[in-house]
Amino acid sequence: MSDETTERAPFRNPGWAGNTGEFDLSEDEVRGRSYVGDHAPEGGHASRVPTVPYMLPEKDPEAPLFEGPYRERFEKILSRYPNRRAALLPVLNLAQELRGHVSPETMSEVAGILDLSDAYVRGVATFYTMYNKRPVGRYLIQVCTNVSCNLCGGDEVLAAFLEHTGTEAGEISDDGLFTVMEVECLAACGFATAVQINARYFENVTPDDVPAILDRLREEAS
Amino acid sequence: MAENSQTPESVTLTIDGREVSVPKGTTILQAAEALGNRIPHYCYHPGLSAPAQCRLCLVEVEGAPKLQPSCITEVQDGQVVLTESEEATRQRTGVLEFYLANHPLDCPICDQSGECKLQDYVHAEGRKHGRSREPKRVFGRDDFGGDILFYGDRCVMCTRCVRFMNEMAQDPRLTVVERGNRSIIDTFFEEGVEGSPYAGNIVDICPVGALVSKDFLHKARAWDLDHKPTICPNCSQGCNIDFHVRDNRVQRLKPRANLEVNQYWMCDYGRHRYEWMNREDRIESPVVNRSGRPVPSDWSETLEALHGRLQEGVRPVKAVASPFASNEDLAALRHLVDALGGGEIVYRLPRADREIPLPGFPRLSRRRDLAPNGRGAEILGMERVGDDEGAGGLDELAHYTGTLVVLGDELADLEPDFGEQAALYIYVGSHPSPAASQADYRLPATTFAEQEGTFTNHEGRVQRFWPGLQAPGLARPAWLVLGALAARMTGGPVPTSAAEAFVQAAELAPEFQGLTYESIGTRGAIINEPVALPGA
Repeated sequence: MSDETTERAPFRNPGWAGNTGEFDLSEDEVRGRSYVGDHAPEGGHASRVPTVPYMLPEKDPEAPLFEGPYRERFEKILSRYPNRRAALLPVLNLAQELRGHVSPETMSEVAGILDLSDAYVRGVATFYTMYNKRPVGRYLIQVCTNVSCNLCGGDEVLAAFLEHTGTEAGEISDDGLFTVMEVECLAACGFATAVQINARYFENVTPDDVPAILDRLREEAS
Repeated sequence: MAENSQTPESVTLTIDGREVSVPKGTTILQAAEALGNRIPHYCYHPGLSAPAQCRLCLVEVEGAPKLQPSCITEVQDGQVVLTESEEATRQRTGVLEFYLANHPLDCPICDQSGECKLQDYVHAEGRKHGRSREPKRVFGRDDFGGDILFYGDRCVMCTRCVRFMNEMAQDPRLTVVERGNRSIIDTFFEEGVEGSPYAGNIVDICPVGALVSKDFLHKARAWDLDHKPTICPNCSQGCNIDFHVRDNRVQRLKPRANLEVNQYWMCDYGRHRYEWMNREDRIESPVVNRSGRPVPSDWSETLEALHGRLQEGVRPVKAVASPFASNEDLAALRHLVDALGGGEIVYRLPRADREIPLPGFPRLSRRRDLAPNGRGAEILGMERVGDDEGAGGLDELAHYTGTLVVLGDELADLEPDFGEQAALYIYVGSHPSPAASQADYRLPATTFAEQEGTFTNHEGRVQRFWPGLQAPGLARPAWLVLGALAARMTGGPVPTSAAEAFVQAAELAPEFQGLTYESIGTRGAIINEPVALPGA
């Protein structure tokens, strides 16, 4: 796919901020294939053990908490906090990375593991909007409609995503690929409208770009 | 209160122009309270930690760059605090406007109406008109299980309930879910607080109508309730409580603060056991049983007849008492039995299989003894019989052929032929039962809820209670009935008040000596430890 990136001539927005047309560089050349969704190799010091605060496409809602390499990461996460309660956020991240969303059962399991009350974990998980409390599609499309993006047509971009995926906000599309959400500021005001799809930012998105972006994701998924 | 015996360092400050000296470490809010100035607050509760999040208790402190939360700001020497300054008042008005932004203003159908802090504060310092034109967000109501119902729209998010469950019940089942405008108190989905033995307290500490009791739901308006101080009769802890009475019926029980007994709390077991005080099947007039035919009578005639009967000569006496009777009642029974030549007195006491302590304040516990005055009966030399259900143990007495006196025990588990063979059977009680109907003299007594008196709790604390209900018919306090009888027999004085009856009780038991109603006051007093006589 990397070879084809530059060939997508009409595709004005390849999904990265540097696409100003001034340079003859591909996205991959600018930030490398491994930029997105990759985390530091397993092992190493506890302080480097990553937990991803965003969606990964691969997930298993039934995955055990936690086994194998995940167990190892879990232990290392615990080791860098003074008590188990403090490790709640990264452990919820880890659980979401595995399962794709934080269900009531997951909250309860995490509470059990960290010796917290179920209600407390629910309180924390519902406070932070990046924990998905419901299952989402393989690609979680988060469209910013905050001030800058709104001025640059964020609402239309959101409407286009909903139309082309055939879903209501928060629903999973019939093919299981997409969930579209409206979010607040993604900190990419300079590139409004900003759209975050899983770990990836798509910037300067207009409603016209939406079909191409969805096609690209479908292609990736197949 | 200082934990060491040294006098704590004192700090003097000025609040609204009045000087006050308080121990170091006191907060401004508490110091103001000492002056009788109650600074508005929601999240602060004296029995819980203070998160200073409701922003209502902010006061002006001279020299401070901005308003300070008085609930967590400790007093400093020479501090000048203004709680009613323009700035402080303006800020309260502003905060209250925000509190009302999403409040449904459903006071006409809200149980808290009339005792609601939101009503009170807005009435005192709120804006005359709201300015919000936005639609209010709506949560609806949620059943928290057990006795508790949650109206999310009324909530002011003070989190007292969350902190009570975390710190006192130590059963952290409540939390704040979501955030910002959508944040709301909830449990773990459908878990609820059912089965948490102290959960009822979250209704008491809720400053608004968000948490309400299902039992009390729409039962009475707060302003129609008479509050009468009393002692919870449902176990030997002796929690200080208030009767809330309307139409001569107890509508609910609420804890009354006593830092040494129950702090600000009471258990749900006690809280929900009040219906028996409202029972309408009562013995309402003295009944004299003449050859199997019960004849209602009046007091003077009955006492006259009974006195005459007693003077004809008395067979050996045995008596049954009740641990639900006051110290005065029990002492009067002891007086009468002694006047009749003495005899053993037994009582039956239901006993639970375990205690239920409040983890955050373990001095408060639902005790095993499920009656308020077992200790009093014990002090007066009575003996516990029967099983843990408060039944049995009276088989021998059922066919006793001497003089039988029963005080208070309903004898519900006994056969109708109880006391049939007694030479004389006197029953003093409040509720009729087949076993009581055999009595030659059946005398109506008030329940503790209808009279003044004292109970002695499990740790030996004598605590006063006051009448909350009107007694039905001719029912009189047992101390008066038995005291009058004993006085006739001995020629001693008839007690004319509960206080006098207590003085007579103190004559019987060294434990009570030196205690008076005045010294017991509203906080109770610990009994004297019995002194072992040398060589005894």
